Amino acid sequence: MKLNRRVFMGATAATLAAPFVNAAGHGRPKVVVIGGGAGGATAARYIAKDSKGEIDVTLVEPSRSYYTCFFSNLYIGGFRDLSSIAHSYGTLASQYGINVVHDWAIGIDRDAKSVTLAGGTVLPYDRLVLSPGIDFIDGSVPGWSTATQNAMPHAYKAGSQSELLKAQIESMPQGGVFAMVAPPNPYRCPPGPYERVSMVAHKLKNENPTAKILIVDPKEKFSKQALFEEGWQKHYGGMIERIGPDFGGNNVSVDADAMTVTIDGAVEKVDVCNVIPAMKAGRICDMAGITEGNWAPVSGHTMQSRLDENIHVLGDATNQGDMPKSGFSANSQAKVAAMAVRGALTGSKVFPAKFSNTCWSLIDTNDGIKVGASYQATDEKIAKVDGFVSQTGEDADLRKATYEESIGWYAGITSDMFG
Amino acid sequence: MIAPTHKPAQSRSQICGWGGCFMGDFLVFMTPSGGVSCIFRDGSTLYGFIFHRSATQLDGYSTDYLMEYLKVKLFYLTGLCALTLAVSAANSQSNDLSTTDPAQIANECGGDAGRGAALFDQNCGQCHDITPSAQSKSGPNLHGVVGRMIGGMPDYPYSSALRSGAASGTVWDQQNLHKYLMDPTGFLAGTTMRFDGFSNPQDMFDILTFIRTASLPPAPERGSVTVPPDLAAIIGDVAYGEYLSGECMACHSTEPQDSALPAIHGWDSTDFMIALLEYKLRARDNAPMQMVAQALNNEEIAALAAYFGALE
Repeated sequence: MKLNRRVFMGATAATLAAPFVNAAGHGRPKVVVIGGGAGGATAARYIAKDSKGEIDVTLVEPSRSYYTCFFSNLYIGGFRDLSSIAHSYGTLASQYGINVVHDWAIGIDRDAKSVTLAGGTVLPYDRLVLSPGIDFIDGSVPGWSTATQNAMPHAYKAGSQSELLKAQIESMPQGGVFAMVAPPNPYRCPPGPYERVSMVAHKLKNENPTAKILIVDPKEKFSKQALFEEGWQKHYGGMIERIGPDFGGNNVSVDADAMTVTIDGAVEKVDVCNVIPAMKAGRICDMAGITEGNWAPVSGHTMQSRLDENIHVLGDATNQGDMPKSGFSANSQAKVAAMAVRGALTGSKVFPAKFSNTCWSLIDTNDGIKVGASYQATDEKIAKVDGFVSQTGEDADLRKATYEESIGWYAGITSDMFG
Repeated sequence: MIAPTHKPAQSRSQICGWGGCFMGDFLVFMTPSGGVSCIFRDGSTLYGFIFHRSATQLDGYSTDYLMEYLKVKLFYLTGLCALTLAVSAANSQSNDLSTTDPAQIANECGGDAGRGAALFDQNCGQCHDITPSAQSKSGPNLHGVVGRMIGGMPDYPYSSALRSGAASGTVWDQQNLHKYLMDPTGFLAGTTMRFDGFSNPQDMFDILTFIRTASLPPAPERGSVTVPPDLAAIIGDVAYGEYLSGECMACHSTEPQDSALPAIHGWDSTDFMIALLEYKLRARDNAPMQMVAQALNNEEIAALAAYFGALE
């Protein structure tokens, strides 16, 4: 059954009217958060912080050290150390009393309201928050699979894949070819592939100036396209070629053994191949049975799943409307979900949902650009209200200020996530 | 090269301010002769395909090819009737010039003010100024031209064609400017403006976006804004401020740091309100902060000021 707005409102009213009975029947109400990225870590922190100990929060995240996807391109370009994008969950445990469990969630029993972990633990919940990010769709780029990701890295989940891609770029022969197979919409971080191309070009310009970059793209257009193309022309003239769908960019396969990319039948030998496949919601959403198609539909008012009102879904995994799949969006959605969860479990006041997003990208040293928008919840979706985007032809001071602003934002959002 | 592609049309038409509207990949508008013109936007490029022009003007594409392309595109329309209705809807709604928000203007005009500025310099700047109260060059000053009477610049020696426009009481609304800029002599026979018209409609959208943006009243000076009495009278709801502060904390750290973004805890609440008001009125320059501030009403500004002011 699809939950409509009236069912939601009825459920909320009932929750507020009746004394809350929690999962175990006694003690504090329990929230389990699965996924410790921009959505999950923020939600866990805000629920724990704002409920002032009234809610028992458990965060399930396999990684002990979390590498942010945002700024991982800057690591590849040589603007950041890997350690500067790594974060631990220590403060969430020590200062916010969150029970951080490093394990994989492998099953969700929606009737019993419990989560089973790979290690065997069963965690009961009153509300579940799912923020698992993305997984790749098998077969979306013929010839590529997780089994070949060492030869052709995606580097679209940061960490060892980012290190691998950077190392491969560094060992390219002089004058070699870096190829990127760009993903179809919708996907995590719309400007991400094009910021990455900029960062790879920046690196190659210094280390391997005769190298070429080939983008094979199934999309007719992409985020901040005019800005990126202007920047590529300005900083990396002649280095970057993009093959869009008009020339077969939507008909591509790869061969990881031969290191070839076949575009509309034409075989190209390449030296590094960064395959960013098509994406879907992290697999746990499918296991929970809350997806329709590739994504989990949610109500923008509360970020509740449209298929289960006890589950909130955040970030890249959702189908919510107009917001891009970004860390900033997930962080923004997490605060709406945290407020709704607290309202449902402790009766705290609930305010109308407001969201915002800004995506900064770096084209070259001190040449930063940004796009952003504000959003509100309607019954149908999260709807865009207002927005801005950097303009072509901006002066160097403004671009430098934009880059510096992005560094300030990184410090801000990571302390908002991890405390 | 354009290629016929089967793409679902977008579910709603986007009404644009210049007298046409987007319907999925289409841009439709009435021509001066009363026909319907139709332009398709594929990718970042706009391909013009205007019914009433002859096929020889269409840059080497064969008529058959273009007709095939057109058929594929038209598949998604329920017919010319729906199209005409959409055009008349656009024509009836498209001349609201009230917004002072550059992003909203760009949305309404479907253009990029930055590109428009460059195009203005190349195509218009030799004869027209657009800075407020500058002397007219050989052509009239265009500051505030959108919404002005045709031939309505006082003391400018207009051609008789423009003077007759003024006599008829016609206004340079966006529809009229759009028609004039695409085909000056077609819209106003006898105009002495030495310009053949834009062949790429996107150039015209960019120019209109630029002209409207450049005509906005200047923002107040930073430091000149005070808290109005109705805002000062509101007692901020700290709990609401705490929720709203989540948006601030996506970027602003609590730790004092060497950062482009200041810590905002413990600010005096009047200073806090003035900062937000100055972003809202564009007296301070930062696109994300201007957007954030414009989404806040007085109650929300008071709530945030109360919340942050109470923190150490």
